[in-house]
Order: sequence, then structure tokens, then C-alpha cells
Amino acid sequence: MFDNKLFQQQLTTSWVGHELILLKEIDSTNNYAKQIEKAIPGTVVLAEDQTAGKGQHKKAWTSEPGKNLTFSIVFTPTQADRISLLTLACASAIEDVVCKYFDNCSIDLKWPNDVICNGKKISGLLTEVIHNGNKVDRVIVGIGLNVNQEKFEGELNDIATAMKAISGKEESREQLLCDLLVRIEYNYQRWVNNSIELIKEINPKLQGYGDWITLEVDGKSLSDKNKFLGMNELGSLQVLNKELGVDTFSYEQIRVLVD
Amino acid sequence: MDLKLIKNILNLISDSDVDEVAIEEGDFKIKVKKTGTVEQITYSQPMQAAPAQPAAPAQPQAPASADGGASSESSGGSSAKGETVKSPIVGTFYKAASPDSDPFVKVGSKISKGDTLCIVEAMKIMNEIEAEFSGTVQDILIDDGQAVEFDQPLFIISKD
Repeated sequence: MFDNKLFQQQLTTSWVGHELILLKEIDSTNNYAKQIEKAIPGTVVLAEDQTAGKGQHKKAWTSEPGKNLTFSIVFTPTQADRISLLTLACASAIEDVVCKYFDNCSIDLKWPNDVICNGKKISGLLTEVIHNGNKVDRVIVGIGLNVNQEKFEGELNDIATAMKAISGKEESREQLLCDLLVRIEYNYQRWVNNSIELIKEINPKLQGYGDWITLEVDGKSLSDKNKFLGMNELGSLQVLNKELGVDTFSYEQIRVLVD
Repeated sequence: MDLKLIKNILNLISDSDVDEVAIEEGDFKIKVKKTGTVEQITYSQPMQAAPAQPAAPAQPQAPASADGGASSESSGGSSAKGETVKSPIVGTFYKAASPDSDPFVKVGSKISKGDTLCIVEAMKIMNEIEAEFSGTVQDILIDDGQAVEFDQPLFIISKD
């Protein structure tokens, strides 16, 4: 069981995670976090067992109870734009922290919301924004990180991995969550401040960055290859087309297919 | 209303690259979208109206009327009366949390402040729009799965 007391002792953030809601079992930590009335910014909802974790394309994110970190963070930014950049800022923080636990591994970000380690998914994020009229009320970033799970069933075995599967070591989830929140808090602050450094840090981590890749737009693969330029300062995806013009995508359903 | 004129406008737009156009002449107002809807102006979308302007660059009335339309939120052509809830972002409109679940609201639904009205998805980010006040849903102005523009009216809700 996750040790909340130990976690609080080790936590060195300024505000993120100071309020931790620990749940034994929940459908989705995002759903729970959304329903907290007047949540304190930085509140973290962590569940030992998430029975209906949500992922990209509404795919279920399955996780062995008590082995991994499945949690959501409540943010209360004043602006509604650049949210896609916030998701990647958190993903980038996860990459930075996970990297420190390994001597050598290949880890990068899959646009728009996955962390890939040695070719397999180690972490996935889902961001939900609650608008009250035209104002953003709160942003929930849901994170699943595979930590001490050793085996994945069926098809998942080919596409998912965990920290223990790579290093063979059991990690302290309390210490790991503290490390993650410190880095996420740092990146969140840089996101609020429109930091160009943050974008410069994220883009080279994206799979296919600078390569000629296949783009799938609203379910259709484009016949021509495009050079992937990553995110711009507004959080839009940019590519260089074969006519050497820059195309920008802000809201389409996009997949970046790396050969 | 001159049906022949409307037919001519439709043919003209169908043959052009313009996706959407709004025309106003005296009492006659029409807005045509290539996605297949023809309707009396009930609102205007400044973001979308702009590309139509090159067709009539010498008419200062066009942008002026667009602004006028945007500000008259609840007195539009829809028969439903109430406050208009607009989209805060560009994206895809969803009535329900998932394809197999019930819609958040239907026409006639009683809603309370803070109830979820819909989801607008953009780049895998789920944007939930909550009701700012309690009331009754009078009209839903868009179909499930359709693209929405910034500030596009989504619902008409009468306050309790």
C-alpha cells in the first residue's frame, strides 16, 4: 500500500502534492479529481487500483493494483490555450525523472501524450479541461506510469513496459512520486511563464522530430511525407511540407507515424 | 424571399473555393456553409466570416453586420429563447462522454450550475463545458461529432 506519511516526509515541492487524496480503488482518478469542489491547486488524487483508466482513443489503460503510479493532478491556470503543451511538459518531466533511474535506456515522447521506453509505452497521460463558460476552471492531468509491474498480459506485453521490467529493481513509489512532482511543478511554472526553453527542451524528445514522417490527419494518412517540426509556442504541431511551406495543426486529430 | 436568388448563390458558392459566406442586404440575410446547411443568420462567427470578405472587399457593411450579429446573443433566429452557450475553443463537439453512453443533456433537460453540457475535443485534450447557471436546455445547435469554431453557439439555455 502506498505510504502517504512517507511520501509527505520526502516531498520537497512548493505546492504540488501537498494535498494528496489516496484511494484504494476508483474508476478513473481524473473522474474523481474533476468532481472535487474547489480543489486546492496541486491536489493529487492517487489510486492503488484504477478500474477504468482512460487513454488515448478511449483505450483502457490497465495496471496491476498496487504496483504502479496512477494519479491525477489538479491545476488552475488562468488561460485555456497551450494546454497541449502542458501535457507534454508533464510527459517531459516524467522522462527526465525516469531517465535518472536507469544507466542507459532509450526514452522519448510520442506526440501527443505518451512516454516510450525502449520502444514500449511506459507512461501515458490524459488531460481534461473544465470550462465554466468561456473561462477555464481547472485542468486535470491524469498520469499512468508503470513502475513495479513485471508482466503484461497478452498483446500488452508487446507494447507496454515498466521501470522494473527494464532495471530489474523494485522502486519506492513514494520517492518516485516525490521526484516526479518536483519536476512537474518546475515544468508547470515554466509553462505558465511561456518559457521558450521548455519548448526547446520538449521538441527534441519527440519521436520523429526533424525527420520526414507520415502524418495522419483526422484518420487519413497524408500521401506526402512531412518534416516534423514539433510544437510551436502556442502548442500547435508544425510540419514542413514537401513544398517547403510550414503547415500548422491546432485542433485536428493527428497521429505522427514514425517509420 | 427570392428562391431563385438563393439558388444562384448556392451555385456560385458550390463552384468557388469559399467554404462559407454570409450575405446581408436590407432585411434579407443569408448564411451558407458548404457542409450543407442553409440558414437564416442567427449568429455570426467572426473567425469564419473573415475569409468570406474578399468576395465583397468594397462593402464596409459586411464586417459591421458580423459584429452586430455576434453581440445579439439570445435574440437570434432560433425560436428557442434563452442564453447562448458558446464554445471556448476550436475542436470536435461530443454530446456524450463516450459513443455508448447517454448524452450529457437533451433538449428539455433541466440542468444545474456546474453540470457538464458537452465535451469539445482538440488534440486529445478533453474540454468539458460546464453550465454557468441553472436552467432548461431549449436548443442544441450542433450535431455530435461536428467541428466547432471558437465562440460558436452550442446551446440555448433558459435561466430558471
